[in-house]
Amino acid sequence: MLEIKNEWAFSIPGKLEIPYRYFAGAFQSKALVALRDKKKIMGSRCPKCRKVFFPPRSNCEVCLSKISDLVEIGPEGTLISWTVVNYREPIHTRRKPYILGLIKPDGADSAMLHFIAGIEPEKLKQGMRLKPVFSRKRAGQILDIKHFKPVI
Amino acid sequence: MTMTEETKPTQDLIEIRIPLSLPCRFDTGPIMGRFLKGLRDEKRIWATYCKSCGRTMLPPQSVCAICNIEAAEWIELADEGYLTTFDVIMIPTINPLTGQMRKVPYSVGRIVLDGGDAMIWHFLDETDPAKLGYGKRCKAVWEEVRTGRITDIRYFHMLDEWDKNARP
Amino acid sequence: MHRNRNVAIVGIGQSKHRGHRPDVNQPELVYEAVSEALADAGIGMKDIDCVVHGNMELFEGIHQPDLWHLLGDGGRMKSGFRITTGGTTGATIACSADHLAASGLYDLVLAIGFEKQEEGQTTTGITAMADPIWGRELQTGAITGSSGAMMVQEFGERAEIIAAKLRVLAAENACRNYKAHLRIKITVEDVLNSRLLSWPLRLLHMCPESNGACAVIYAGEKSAKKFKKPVWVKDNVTVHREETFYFAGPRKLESTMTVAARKLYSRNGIVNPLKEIGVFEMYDPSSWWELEWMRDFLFLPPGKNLDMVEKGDVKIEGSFPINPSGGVVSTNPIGATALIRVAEAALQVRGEAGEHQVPRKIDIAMASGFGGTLWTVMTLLSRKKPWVL
Repeated sequence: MLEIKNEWAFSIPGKLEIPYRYFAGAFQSKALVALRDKKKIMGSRCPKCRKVFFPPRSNCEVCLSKISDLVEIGPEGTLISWTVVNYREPIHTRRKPYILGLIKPDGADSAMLHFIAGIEPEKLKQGMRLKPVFSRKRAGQILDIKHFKPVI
Repeated sequence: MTMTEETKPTQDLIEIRIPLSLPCRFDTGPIMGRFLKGLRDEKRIWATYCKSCGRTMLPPQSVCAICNIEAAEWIELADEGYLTTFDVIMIPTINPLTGQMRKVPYSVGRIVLDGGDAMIWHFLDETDPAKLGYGKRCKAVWEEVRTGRITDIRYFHMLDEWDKNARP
Repeated sequence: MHRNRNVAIVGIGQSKHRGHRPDVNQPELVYEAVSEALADAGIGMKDIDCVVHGNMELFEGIHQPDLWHLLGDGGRMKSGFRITTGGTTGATIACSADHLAASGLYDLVLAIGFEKQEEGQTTTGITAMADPIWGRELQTGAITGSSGAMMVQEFGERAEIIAAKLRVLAAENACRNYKAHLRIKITVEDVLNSRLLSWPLRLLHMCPESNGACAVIYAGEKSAKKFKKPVWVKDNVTVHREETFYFAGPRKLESTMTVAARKLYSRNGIVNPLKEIGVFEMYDPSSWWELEWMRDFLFLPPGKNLDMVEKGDVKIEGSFPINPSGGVVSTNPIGATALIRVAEAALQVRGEAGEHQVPRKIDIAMASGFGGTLWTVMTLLSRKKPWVL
C-alpha cells in the first residue's frame, strides 16, 4: 500500500491571464457604428420570419435565412421585466444596488438587456416607457448607451 | 511571399477587447503535495514506483496508468541525470500564469534522473542546440528560497560529460 | 465488434479558412460552414435531429460557446452535444456524430468544428492545458522540435531537406484548394531559411493559426440512401493517454498513432495499408511530425518515410497521396481541423475535391486527428456500404 498522508496536501495560487479581442463582423459593425456616430439603435429584420431582432445579426437563428436589412428601432421602448442586482462581483461595471432591465425598443420583436437608472426600483412598472441616455464618449459598444431612464 | 490574406476593410470593422484575468487556486492533493514539499523542505525529488511493470513515475502518481494498479511505493531520485529530448524556444509567447511575454531564447528538456527511469521536465541553462544532445549529463541547481513549486529547482546545469548507458 | 446500422456522410461544408476574418463574428463564421453543408445535402435545418459542436474554448475565451453559436448553427430547440478534446476535437466530433446516428436514436446529425484563433492567444491557450501544479511554467504549447531533433540525429541533414520538401508539397496542394488558408508558393530554401521557433522546427514547418469552421452531416442508413453519393463510415478508433509524456527515455512507449493504426487495421482486415488505402488525410501540426508519423501510421521500415517523400509517392498523383488538401500545415482552425480531415477524405471518396482531387477512384480513405496529450483519433471511410447487418 502506498503511504499517503493527508497533511502533505496544500494549496498553491494560480492565475489565468489572456488578452482577448472579438470582431463584431461587418454586419454588426454597421449597427455599432450607427450607435457610435449617430446615436441610432439598429435591429435586423428576417425576411422570412418578419421579426425584428436586437442585437442585429446577419442570419436568422430560427429559420437560418440570410438577413441583409438593418432597421432603426427605438430609441424609446417598453419595460418588459427587471431585477435589482444586490451583490458585488469584480466583473460588474456598476456598484450595487443597480437595476438590470429587459426593454423592448419600439419596432423590435425582441427585448434588449440594459441598465435602468433615474428611478427607484419600487416605482418601476411593467409597460413603462423608457428612453436611452447616451454616453458622451462612444466607441461602438453596447455601453455607448449609458442606461435607460423613464420618459417623463 | 505573403503569409496571410488580408481582407481590406472598406468599412469600419469594430473590434472589442476584453482581457481575461482570473485569479485561482489549485489544491495539490497529498501525492503532489509530498513531491512539492520535498522540493521545498528537503531538496529531495520524490517519485513513485509500479511493482508490476517496474517503471518510475515522475511527478509521482498513486496509480500506474499503464497497469491500472496502485503504485507500490515511494522512491527517491537523485537530482542529476542525463538529458533526452530538448527544445530551445526562440519564439516568445505569453505565459498564462502572468500574462507577460516569456523571455527568449530559453531551453526545456526531459532529464532521466538517476535512481529510476522517469523523466523530469525542466529548464536547461544552455540555449545553443549544438551543445545539447541525448545522453548529456546535467545536475539540478536549487533556489535558495523555495516555495513549493517546480521552480524551486531553477534549472538543470549541463555538464561536460555523456552518460554511457543512455540510448535513444 | 457490432454496429446497429451503417452511417454515411451526406453533407459537407467549410468556411473559407483565413488568418484574418474581422468581417464575421463567431456565430456568423459557424453559419458559413453550416449553410454550405445544408445546401450540399439539399436539406433544411428542420431535417436535422441533433447538433454536435466543438472547439477549444480557451482560444476565444468564451465559456460554453455552443450557447452563443446557436445563433448561427441552427440548433435551436434541437438535441445537442458539446465536445472538446484538444486538437483532436474535430475527429472526436466526427466519431460522436457517427455513434449518435449509428445508435438509431438520431437520424440526421450535424457535426460542427470551429475556431476563431485570432481572437485569443493560441500558444498561451495550449499552455493552459498543462498541469498547473508543475507544468505550466514549462509548457511551450505545440512548439517543440524534439521529434525533428531525433530524426536529424538518426538521418542527418537529409532529414531537414526532406521535411522541407514535405512542406513545399503541402503548399503546392493547398494552392489547389481554394478553402485552404496558406496558399503560398515556397521552395525548400524558403523553408530552411525561415525563422527558427525551436530547433529544428522553423516557422514554415509549423501550422498557422486560422479562423474557420467545418460542418459535416451524418445520416443513418435508411435516410443516407436518399442522398446522392453518401460516403460510408467504416470505423472510428480513439486512443488517449495519461498526461505525462513517454516518447523518449528508457521507458519509451509506443506512440498513440501506432496503437490506433494497429487497432484500426486489425478490426478492418487491412494488411497492407499502402495498397489498400486510397488516400490519407493526416493531422500534421508540423511537417516534422508529418514525416515522423508516416512511419508510425503506416508501419514503415526505418527510412522508408524519407524515401517516399523524396520520390514523390505522397503527392496527389503519387502512389499513396497524403493530405491532398494541403493538410494542417496549410490550414489550422484548431477545433475544426480534425473534422476538416474527415470532410476532405469524404470529398476524395465522392470525387468532388476539384483541383486537389486524387486522380483515381477512391474506395477507402483514412483520416486522423491529433491533440491533447498526444491523443490520436482515426476514421476510415468507404465508398461502398461497409457493414452487412
